Amino acid sequence: MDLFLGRFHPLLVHLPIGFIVLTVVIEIIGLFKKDRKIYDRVVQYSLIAVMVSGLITIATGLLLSQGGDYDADTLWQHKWLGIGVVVFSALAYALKMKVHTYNNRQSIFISSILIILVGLTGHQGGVLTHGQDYLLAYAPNVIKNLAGIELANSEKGIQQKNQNSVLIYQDIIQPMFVQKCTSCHNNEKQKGSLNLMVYKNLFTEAESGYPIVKSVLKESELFKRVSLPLNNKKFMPTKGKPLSYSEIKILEYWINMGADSLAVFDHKNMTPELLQLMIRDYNLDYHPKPYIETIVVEEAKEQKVGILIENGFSVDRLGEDNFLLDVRYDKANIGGEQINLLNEIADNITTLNLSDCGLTNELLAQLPELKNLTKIDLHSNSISDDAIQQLHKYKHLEVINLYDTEVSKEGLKLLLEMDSLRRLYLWKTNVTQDMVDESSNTANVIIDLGGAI
Amino acid sequence: MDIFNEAHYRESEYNTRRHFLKNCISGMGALTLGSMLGGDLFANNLPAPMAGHGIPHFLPKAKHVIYLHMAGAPSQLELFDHKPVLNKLNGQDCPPSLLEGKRFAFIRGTPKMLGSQATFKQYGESRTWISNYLPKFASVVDEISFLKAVSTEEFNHAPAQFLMQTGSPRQGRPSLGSWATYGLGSSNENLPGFIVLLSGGVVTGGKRLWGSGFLPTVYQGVQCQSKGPAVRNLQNSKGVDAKLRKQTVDAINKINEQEYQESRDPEILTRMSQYELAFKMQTSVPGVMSIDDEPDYIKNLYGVTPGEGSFANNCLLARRLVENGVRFVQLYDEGWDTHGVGPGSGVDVGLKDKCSRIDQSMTALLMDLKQRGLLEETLIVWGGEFGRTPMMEARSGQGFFGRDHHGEAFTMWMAGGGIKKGFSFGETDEIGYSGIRGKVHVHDIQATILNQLGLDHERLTFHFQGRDFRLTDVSGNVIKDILTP
Repeated sequence: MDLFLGRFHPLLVHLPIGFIVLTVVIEIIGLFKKDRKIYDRVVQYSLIAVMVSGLITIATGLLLSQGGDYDADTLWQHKWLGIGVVVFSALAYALKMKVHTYNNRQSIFISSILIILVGLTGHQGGVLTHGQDYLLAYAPNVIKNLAGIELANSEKGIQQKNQNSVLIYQDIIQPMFVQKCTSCHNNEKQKGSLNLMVYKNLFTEAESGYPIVKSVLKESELFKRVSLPLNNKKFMPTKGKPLSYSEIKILEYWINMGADSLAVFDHKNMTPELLQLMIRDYNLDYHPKPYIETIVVEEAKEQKVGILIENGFSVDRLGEDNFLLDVRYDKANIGGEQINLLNEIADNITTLNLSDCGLTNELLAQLPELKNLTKIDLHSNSISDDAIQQLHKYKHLEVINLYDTEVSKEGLKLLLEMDSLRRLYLWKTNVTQDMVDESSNTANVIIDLGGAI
Repeated sequence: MDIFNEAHYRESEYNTRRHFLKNCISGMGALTLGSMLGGDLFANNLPAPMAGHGIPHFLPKAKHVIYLHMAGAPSQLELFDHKPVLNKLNGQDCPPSLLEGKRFAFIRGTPKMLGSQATFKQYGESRTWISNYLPKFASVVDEISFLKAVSTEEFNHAPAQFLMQTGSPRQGRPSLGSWATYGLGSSNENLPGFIVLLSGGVVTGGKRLWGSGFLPTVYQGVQCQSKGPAVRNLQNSKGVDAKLRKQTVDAINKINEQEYQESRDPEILTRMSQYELAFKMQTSVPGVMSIDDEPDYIKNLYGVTPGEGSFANNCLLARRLVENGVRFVQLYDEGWDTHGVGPGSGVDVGLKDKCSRIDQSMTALLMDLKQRGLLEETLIVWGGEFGRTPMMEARSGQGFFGRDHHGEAFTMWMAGGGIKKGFSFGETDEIGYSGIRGKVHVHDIQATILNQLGLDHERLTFHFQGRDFRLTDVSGNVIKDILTP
């Protein structure tokens, strides 16, 4: 019953406000009239109305304060400001009735104080129900600056960071709480005794249970509430935008991963769906990166690159953001001298094309260590199985093109021993489909024998 | 260009017409100042052609592009976009709601719906619907990403071709291949970076489709032919041998060099490099452009007829060019405009016949590139400038199964360099009229092509007439859905 009546407080509160405004308006009009009597009378009546409706409002307000989880400080201010309004209006009434020297200039002054008092009370009331930042949440930045509010990081804040250092809680979940939950669950006001401003409170029992139980999605009340059907009366948030599908999925992932405040995304335990959602909604791509995208090397010396170019090589940079090189031999006959030149820029070479240039097993054996080599094209050379062992020193070699060479069964076996191998081109070699069918280790490798797709 | 010349050039670059007008406003004094500050008031503001190779913005997925443009616009409803509901509605009047506020090139009044004239079956592990018009191509669908809901605003051939190839429906902008070579340079110094091959007749849009627009002319497409001399006017005239030619080119370039020192017109540098390239091409081009030394099984694979300017020959040439490091090979095959204005020009007989001339060779191109390991570093793009209507055009009465131009939704496909295999993106409504899911625009296609080459379409710009221009102007999004992760 208390709460039933208490909830009329937000409704009734507008009555005294209206009367106070009326009082001031009449008073101002009265200033310009010769016969002020009638205006004074109206002011008196409306002050009485202020007092009566004010008292009722105070009563309902006191009842309401019993039930809600309101911030005590704000509530105290609101309560005494409200009472102050009624007391002040009583004072104004008394002055008007009893003091004969009380002129209407003084009266205006008193009324203005009354208006200011009402404004302050109303604002504190708003803070109680909607939260601290309600009023200026959508104000232009200029006004926010004036009000001394720290400008929140917009979504762009995430993108400016290296995606591997995006913290799930701090960068995504906490901002989401602030946007969608903390108007009711904050330091001042804790509906259901839940406060989402502080990380550790997520794991302290609230009225309906533990908001989050680490790694146990089923028992996490908070997750349950935000993922209920929209029309369920326990659905959260009760007002404003519900959590987006991506936000729910991120919350799910985070809780399942142990809800650590410093947790980051890891593709190993993300679902393909979540990987896609992160790209779509946050522009964060957590798909595992191919080796080539993880290589960090220093720039190759221009002069060294120049020497290679003079000796018949083409050397192309593979992007402004890296110093990887695509190297190709353009002339017809390569010799040991040219092959040794590759040593000069060994770490930068990621793709190497030595096709159709008279390469032999012996020359291939001279090929230096190239630790970042991912792709080699050796097609149309007289290379046989004996040379394949040489390729084993390239630990990140993913693509080998050997079409139109003399590679056969033994070579295929050696090639398939390479863990990093993904694609193998063997058209016009001695390797047959039968040999491929007989081999093991072919699960990760696409072998192209030509002639068909 | 050394640093002084560059500075000098940049200085004069600011003296464009716009600045001239601004200077005028602040009076004659400022005008005089303007001309004192630097060179010719109406200086052409082209920066120097880039020396050496360009560096891509990020790791490229493809080194080369082969763009197969079916000029005239093939019907998606007879090739890739299977619409059983449309077949049921065959012969019924088109509901007015579909026609309201729309403009067609030829359709007037109320047209009748026209069901597909082809029969469809699913192929490959991807269960992709392909019609009986492309029987061989059906065997390679697992290599392809289809874009089922491409859209364009243009509904006439030339403007639509310009939009597709240059990013603007009006002529004068640099083409896709020009932008690509401007960004990356050619990887074979003896061959142009951008080569164009034609078959089936003259393309409506004409030579400007491979023009370099305001980019230096070194980046314009070089049209080669598979019939007759590979490049026109490239042979030495009678009595002139290579040595004499070299001396001539050297002499001309010496004069050009002097002229450049005086005029500082960067286009002279372009011209000089063109002379040198042309000289190198005299020896390099005939070799690359001759398909005679290809083994017979390769000729049969493509179905080539030596000495003809056929699409098949061009496909084989495209492979040879890419093998030799040409950056961008553009094929135009004209004759896909199936309006049905007479017998054999509709989407029944006419289109089927046309398809039979590309089916084998474009399939062979994919297979041949694949077995050489080139498909993974070459992006193949296939498409027309727009699609065809689900309604019969019937310009000259019913009966010839024609379809009008239709830009709202049509099919294109890509394969190779970093593109998903056996994938389909986008969907049209039940009658194939407009896209309902996964809609992409011409600019998105262009952004994607540049992206695969390691170029950011928003950063690949050229300063001209007082502002930075780019291929996709102010739009375009990379179609990430069809890219391999």
